[in-house]
Amino acid sequence: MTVVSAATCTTLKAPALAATYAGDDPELLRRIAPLLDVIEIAPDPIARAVGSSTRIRRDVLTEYANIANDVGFTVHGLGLSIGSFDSWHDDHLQVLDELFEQVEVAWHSEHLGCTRVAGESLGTMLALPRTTEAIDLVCERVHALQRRYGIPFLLEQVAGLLPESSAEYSPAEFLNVIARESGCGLILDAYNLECDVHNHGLDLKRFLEELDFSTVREVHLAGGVRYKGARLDIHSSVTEPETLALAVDIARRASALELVTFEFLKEAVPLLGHDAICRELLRVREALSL
Amino acid sequence: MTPLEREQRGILALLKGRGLASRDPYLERISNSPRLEILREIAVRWRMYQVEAQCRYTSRLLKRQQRFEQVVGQHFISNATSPFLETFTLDFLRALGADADVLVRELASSELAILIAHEGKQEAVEIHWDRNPDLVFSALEIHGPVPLPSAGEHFILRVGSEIRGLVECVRESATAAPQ
Repeated sequence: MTVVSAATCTTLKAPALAATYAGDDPELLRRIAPLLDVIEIAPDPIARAVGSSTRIRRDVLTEYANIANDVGFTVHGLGLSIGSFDSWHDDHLQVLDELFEQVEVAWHSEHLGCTRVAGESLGTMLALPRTTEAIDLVCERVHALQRRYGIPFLLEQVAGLLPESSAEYSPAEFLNVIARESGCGLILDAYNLECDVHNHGLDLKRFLEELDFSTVREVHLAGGVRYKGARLDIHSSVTEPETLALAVDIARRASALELVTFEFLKEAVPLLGHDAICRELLRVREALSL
Repeated sequence: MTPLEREQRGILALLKGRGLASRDPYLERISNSPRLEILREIAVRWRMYQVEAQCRYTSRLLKRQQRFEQVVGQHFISNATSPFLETFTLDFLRALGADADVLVRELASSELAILIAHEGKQEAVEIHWDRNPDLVFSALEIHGPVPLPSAGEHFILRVGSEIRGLVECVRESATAAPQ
């Protein structure tokens, strides 16, 4: 069952608009699909254990199939753990294998982070130390992904919460080297950058000046929360005006930008409401002239 | 051990409250950072949320016993938990099958069996109850008082994908009347 054509995403000249949809809310899908060009599929929340293996939920795949004539798809993973010192998460690759058999996507992407260590889940995501060792590890795995799936692969910079370890590269240089040496594209998450400014004192001006924007193909937008003095990357609210303004700034710099994605957690939908999500999509489209 | 391995293994140990195997200035800085507790709290709260959504009866019972957060947190810290949240829930319910509280054991085992049967791939299993499970589920549903063990009675909850409605319950007596 091929449920989607990737053409929607790859041939658009202006950036397309995407949003996350993780199933089980057909009314939401009915409302947002006409407002979108692309649906972002997050494989992790729609995967479940079936016996000893992990499989994609068939009912959610059917939901995607039902709108395949109207939107394109990308896949954005959370749990591959591309930066684990020992190995990435093989179960996650099985999920991707199954997903790519069912859904034709423009590209897939992952977070530039680590979610498991020595085979054990951290239960959260760590940013990687900005070292040559981490770069070499990630680039080798990006090459393996490119060989395995034969479609473009993007990496997203993640927001770090813990104090940073000593670094050999600046935040922008780290991304530049990975993109250059691996051939992957980049996703810039505007809200993550704001988190790093707040939590680690990231010099945003310098970051934007140093980053090679020719590799940025996607921008992420989201809203999060402040908790115990920290700014948390939790996709639980609409985008704050300054986040949207930063995304506009990024979009102006990124000549290869193809997609802008508003991300919200499935669990946040009851709090946000369908109306607010639809309004947000219209707001993002207008702000970025999509 | 490379610097990356040392850093990641160290953070895993700190997150899971296992302490550090050796002295490392960076990891010691993390262990003293309030951000570590925030990170652990986020990880546990996500799992609490998922458990609540997937097995509401066991969650409600544990909340009544005022140990829901503690039990979920302890399971996260003590086990090599799955990154897939649904799998985490199944493992969590399996672990509660050995809980000291008999009602928690009965309820968690039943919800686990129902979740698996719902996937359509389970032969019938039997969970033995010391009280009427139907009344327990009903009480938790309406936040009413949970019945006490039934003196002299024994209930068997059968759960399986081949069973109509997935579950059936019999009182272990001469009448064996379906509940």
